[in-house]
Amino acid sequence: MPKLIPVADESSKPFWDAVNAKRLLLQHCGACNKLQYPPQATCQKCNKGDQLTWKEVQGKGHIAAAITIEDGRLNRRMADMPYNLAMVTLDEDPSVNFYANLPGTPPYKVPVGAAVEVTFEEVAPGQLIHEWRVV
Amino acid sequence: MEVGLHRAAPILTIPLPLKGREANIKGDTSLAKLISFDIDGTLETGDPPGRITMVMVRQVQALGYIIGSCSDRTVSHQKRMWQQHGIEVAFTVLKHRLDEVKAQYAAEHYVHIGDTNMDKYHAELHGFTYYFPDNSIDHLWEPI
Amino acid sequence: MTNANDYKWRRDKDGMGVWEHRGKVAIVGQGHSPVDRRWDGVSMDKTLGAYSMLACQKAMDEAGVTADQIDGVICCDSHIAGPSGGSASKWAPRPYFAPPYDSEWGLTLVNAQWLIKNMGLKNVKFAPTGLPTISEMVGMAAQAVGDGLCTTCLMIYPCGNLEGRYRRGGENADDYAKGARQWTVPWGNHGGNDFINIFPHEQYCRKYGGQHDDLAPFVINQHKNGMLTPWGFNATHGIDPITVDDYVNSRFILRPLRIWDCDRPVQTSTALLFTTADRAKDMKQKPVYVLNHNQYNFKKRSTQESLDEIELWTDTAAKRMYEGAGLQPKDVDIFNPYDGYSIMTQFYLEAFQWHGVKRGDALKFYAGDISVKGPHPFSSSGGNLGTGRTRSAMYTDSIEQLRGTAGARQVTVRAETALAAFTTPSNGGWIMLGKHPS
Repeated sequence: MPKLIPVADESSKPFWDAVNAKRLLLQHCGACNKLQYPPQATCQKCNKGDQLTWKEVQGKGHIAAAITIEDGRLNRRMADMPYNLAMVTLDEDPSVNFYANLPGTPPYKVPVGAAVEVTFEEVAPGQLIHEWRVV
Repeated sequence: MEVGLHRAAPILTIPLPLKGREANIKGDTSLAKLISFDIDGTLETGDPPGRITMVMVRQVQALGYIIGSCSDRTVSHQKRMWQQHGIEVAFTVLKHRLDEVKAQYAAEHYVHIGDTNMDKYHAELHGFTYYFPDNSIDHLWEPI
Repeated sequence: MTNANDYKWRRDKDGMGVWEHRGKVAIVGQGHSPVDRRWDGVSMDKTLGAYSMLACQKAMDEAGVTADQIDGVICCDSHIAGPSGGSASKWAPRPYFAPPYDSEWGLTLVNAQWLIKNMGLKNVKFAPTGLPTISEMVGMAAQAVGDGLCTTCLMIYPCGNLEGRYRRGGENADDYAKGARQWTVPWGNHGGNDFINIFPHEQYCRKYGGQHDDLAPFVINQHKNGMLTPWGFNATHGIDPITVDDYVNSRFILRPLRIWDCDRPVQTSTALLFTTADRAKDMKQKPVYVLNHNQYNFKKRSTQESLDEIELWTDTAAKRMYEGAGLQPKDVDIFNPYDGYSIMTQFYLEAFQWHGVKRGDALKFYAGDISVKGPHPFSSSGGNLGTGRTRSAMYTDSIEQLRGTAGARQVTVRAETALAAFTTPSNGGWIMLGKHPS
């Protein structure tokens, strides 16, 4: 799948560096004991940034909802249609969610509610993204 | 659990009587060629108007092609459009239903002309040769 | 000129109490330009600028207000074809045209300064810059008049879309995902209200029961109401109202979202004229009073909005509105929520509990009689689905219903209060209108 290639910026570089090393690292606020994704400059809950650190998570989750993209607008993904787009919640904190194409799961066959685990997929030389696969 | 299940639709919504078409209902051995026209951006009646005029549609029909429309416009709109122009077509189907056209009509060559990526996608998905409505289609108007 | 951010006009917090200007501000005029699918690139009387001036003139004529009486102009310079639409045709054709179309202004963008100059509005003292869209501009106009910053204020929403497309080209044609898009587009979310709401909608159907296609009666009713809206795209372009068969056989876009769940991008402009309740008494048009306005900008917790977040946000919006208007759900006669994708409207209906509809009841409600002549004339405007993506039908229908001038759309039930909005569940605002000031 020719997925779009993420471009890391200052705040997201630690995240993508970890992904490229096949690790899932999320922001963690020490004051709130809360995980945060996508990365932000401050904690979404307490609005402070001084206690934000990076924490590796297990990469276990569940499929909360799913759709099938049949007429998307991304040129790079036209050839992929139809394809799954699922909303995956993280088991360690279900308020954190991710998108997933669920490699290995055919379109229209998404088992909503099923357990998934993180996997990593190369979208450009040296650039991985985090994907999720049904366990 | 699967998502997005929907009701099945009937095959081909408007089979209008047409001599050329009837000769090529699936099962007949005499094969013709078939052209499916998108409407918006393709036919002059579309929004935006496309390059293909109703005169050109009549010309290609006179050449022996099985013709019809395949559009996101409702089938009732498609039917009315053809009736308003006095053109009897073999089929009027929704954009994603070209497979039904192929199932219904045996043809030597299936062509779909349309101006969007979805025209290309559905045409190629269902084994139609896709053309953008520019001068790449001119050869279709040459005698077959 | 004041920047909108320097003026504390928003009512975007809980517990603000009844609006201090409740019933003291009125809408006395409205105007729609024609609604086109796109600009043809040559007709200078059909530019976004020309259409905006036309809409303003109609609103002024309706009220019997002349150009010299206008002292406030509120006009956002957003346009659908630009960054928010992801279109490649962000800019107008080059070379530009003769003045006043010798730059992007008037072609792709319209703002207060351009309108003031080209409409000869000589007495404007309030024309802020940096404005949000219509959902919030109506609140700002009402607040500005109530606060005395101006007395006769035009609010204009230029809804420009040169090529009549949405989110095609532009950054969606790129190979790379930058900024906030690095978290969405690699997996296929190209952005928009459809993606925001389709996942919560899918969760909704599983939580409460029902299927996506249970939206069919609502979508069909929007088309019917749209055909009763003479200025709208559908009515002016002979768009057939769709049938159940048309709906359930239609093509999927983001399955289960179908093509008929989506609104049609258009090029148009709408103007509303606000004034004080005192001045409104002497104007041509029967005033419609503003009873409250609210805004919000809720922040999602993670990547994708979930059903529970959307229910929380819409509940909060409803609570703020009812508190500020001093009204309850049973008091609301006309309800025109946003339908820029059919899949989001049930969230508003249930949050505001219009006609007693509670969480999980919307699909059953849609299956009943929601026609404008029936007991539950839901979304009498036809919304975006019935008139094109004007984002203004909700407001002008509400005004006409309260005036009693909605023609074939006029409801047969009581029409003394109306709620209208253009909003995603996370951003935007609502306005409560009344036939009477109190």
